[in-house]
Amino acid sequence: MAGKDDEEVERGRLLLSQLDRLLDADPFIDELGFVHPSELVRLKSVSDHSIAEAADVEPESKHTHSYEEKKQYAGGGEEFAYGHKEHNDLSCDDCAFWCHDHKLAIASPVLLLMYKAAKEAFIAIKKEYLIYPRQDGLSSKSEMIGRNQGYQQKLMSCTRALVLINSDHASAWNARKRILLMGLKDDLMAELRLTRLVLSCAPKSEEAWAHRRWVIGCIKGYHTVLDGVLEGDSKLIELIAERSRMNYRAWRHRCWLVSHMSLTQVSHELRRSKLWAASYVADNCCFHYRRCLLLHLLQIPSSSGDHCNEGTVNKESNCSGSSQSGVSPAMSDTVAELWKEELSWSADLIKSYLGCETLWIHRRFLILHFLDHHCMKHCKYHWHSASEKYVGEVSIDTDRSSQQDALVESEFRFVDFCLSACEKNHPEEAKRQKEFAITYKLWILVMEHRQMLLSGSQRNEAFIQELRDVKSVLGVLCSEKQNLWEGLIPPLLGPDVVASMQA
Amino acid sequence: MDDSSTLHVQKHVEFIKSLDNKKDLESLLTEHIRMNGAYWGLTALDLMGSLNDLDQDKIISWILQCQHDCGGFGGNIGHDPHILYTLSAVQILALYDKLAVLDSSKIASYITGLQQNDGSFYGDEWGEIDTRFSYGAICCLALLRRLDAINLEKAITYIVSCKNFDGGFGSTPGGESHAGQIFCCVAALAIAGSLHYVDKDLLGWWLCERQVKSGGLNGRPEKLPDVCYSWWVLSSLAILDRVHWIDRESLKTFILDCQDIENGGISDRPDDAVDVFHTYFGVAGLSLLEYPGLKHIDPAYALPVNVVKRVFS
Repeated sequence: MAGKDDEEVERGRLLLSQLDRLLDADPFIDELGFVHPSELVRLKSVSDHSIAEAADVEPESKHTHSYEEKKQYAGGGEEFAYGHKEHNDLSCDDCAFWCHDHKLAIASPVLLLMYKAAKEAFIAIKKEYLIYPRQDGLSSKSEMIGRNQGYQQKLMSCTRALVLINSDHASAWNARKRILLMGLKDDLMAELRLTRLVLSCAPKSEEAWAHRRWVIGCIKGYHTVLDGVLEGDSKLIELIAERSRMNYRAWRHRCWLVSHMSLTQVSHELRRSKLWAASYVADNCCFHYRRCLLLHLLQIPSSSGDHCNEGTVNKESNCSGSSQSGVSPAMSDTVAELWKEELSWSADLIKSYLGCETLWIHRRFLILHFLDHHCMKHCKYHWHSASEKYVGEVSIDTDRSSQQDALVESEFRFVDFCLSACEKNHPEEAKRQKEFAITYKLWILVMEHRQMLLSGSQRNEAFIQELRDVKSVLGVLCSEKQNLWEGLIPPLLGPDVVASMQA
Repeated sequence: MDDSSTLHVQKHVEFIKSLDNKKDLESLLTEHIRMNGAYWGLTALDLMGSLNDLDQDKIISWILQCQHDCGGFGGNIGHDPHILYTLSAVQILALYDKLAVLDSSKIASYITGLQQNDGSFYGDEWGEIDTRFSYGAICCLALLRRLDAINLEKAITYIVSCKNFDGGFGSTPGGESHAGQIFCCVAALAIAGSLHYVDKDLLGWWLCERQVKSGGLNGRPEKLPDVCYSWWVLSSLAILDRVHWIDRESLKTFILDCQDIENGGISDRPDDAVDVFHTYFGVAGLSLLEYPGLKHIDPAYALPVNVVKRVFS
């Protein structure tokens, strides 16, 4: 039994050193997967075939192309001399690894052995290096530095294996941070690539995203590099989000990037993410991202110009619905225009994609800010049922409250339109559309009620009537949430009305 | 008798106890969060009246070995300290009525060191900020009766700055509303006596919208229901005194449907693989729904009510 255990330990160490060589030979591996051994065999036969085909093609040109691609992603800040070692030159276990075109597959059964070996190495080296770095009794300084470098290298290699297999191993990531703090910019760019590789396999890893933010924080000093990183990360998240839907941590990272952006970058992002959002209308994260961008527009100080200024760095954008704004009048029009576009686009999406919760939530957000934010006070919107289109116009003369009344009225017409929509081919979606439409109307009434409380005005007859109507429609369309409506609506109607209803 | 209509308490107790001896890849890959796992498992056992089935002395001795000189606890022996494991360690010792073995000043000073100028908390020395860490800090210090060690007012201000238009809260200011983060923020505000900052009706509405047709709860719009949100959503509703706003019966049925009747344990959704995380949250959710035979759980401290009473008596 002991013999078998020893054999396994030895095999684990051997596999680990092979993994090390593979990763060192190609620092631009950008995709990792753990696969069934049969999948490894299939991948191998496919790549052998393509290698045979490619033998006639000038190999150098293929190689250069892929290097350029990687370099582009890294934002121009990396200065890595790409080696010409190919994995074919490496002796590695064909039953454990497949590496081709910067993609690495590892057979699942060897993970346990490799992980055990990496963990054992981590504990041993950490003990020697982190706990006793200065008590090694070496007399010469250079001897000590040399030895420390050796430890560092070993530690970086075993923690790399640990985080590749277990992306949430925080202590392994932390050990890397300690070593990186002693290092150079190039190491940080390599570390960004490692987190990307880990995220390709574990896109929801909390610790991998946190480590990436830490690395970006370290390279913040290198401004030219940072700009490239911001754009690269934004694209990276779109790639990841396509495979890993509604990934809270990935989108959190993207929202975090917004806090480093200028007005131009924010408007650019708003336009760029539109297509993605329209393709994945059920992904609330992307619409939340747009809300971050829209709110950030309201907060960028008028002096910030086109450059990422220090004032915006380090500050998370605030989506709490604050009405404070440092936007200049000229910019205010630009900002209002972008918001107006969003409202109009939102109506189009709601009509195209029936019964999509995310779209209605987004509209709740938009309407709240149109009713609430002084930046929007010059904008006037009407929904024309004839053309089924929103049109925006600017009117400075109309006073704010009548403009709000007009907006609310127009939204109610939009709700009525959606309630009357009948889709015989998609009855389930049509049903959901009606549910969301009527709860959206309730949302507007709740917002109106809040404003009444703030201004000290009384509920008028029309408001009470609308609310009673909404309550009865909800009772029919969303009866399973009856407890909610019974809890939420009566306080809005006021005790007198409730008493009269009960009578 | 319909097997899925009742909670199979004994099976779940046996399932949790069996986790102690597992040596497969999955248990190896979760070694680093073992402190959380122990808290989930032991709290579930306590709610089911079986806390003493495991060796208390062995567990406490292991917990103490996870503490670092700085005062914080790691997720396991040899792992770096973090506020979330520190909270779990303190919660487990509260379960066992053994808070006295801790040097509370040392832990308090660790947590004080994690608070930032804006009131937020680092999770550890590396600077990641999250409202989960605010909850960890506030709940942990409250259990140690050392809330004086931090600037509570600033901590509250930071949490409130993470409030969104829908009444929910995110991980940082501007973060998307998420039921897990909402629990952390609402529970932290409840412990700090600052629930007046919460928009109870608006947030209650958002939380109720998390209930889907099957009766289960999701954590964000358009997501699938998951048993863990039976805790995150329901505990928030309980703190806001709005549990009666949802359909409690259909939620109960959903949780019971997620049991592995043969081998014990509860999964995220019916017929998925079980784990200790979902087993705890399923049992805790049923406790909030006042399932007969289970101890009541405190929605803010995430500990049995009798444990919380004992701590503050």
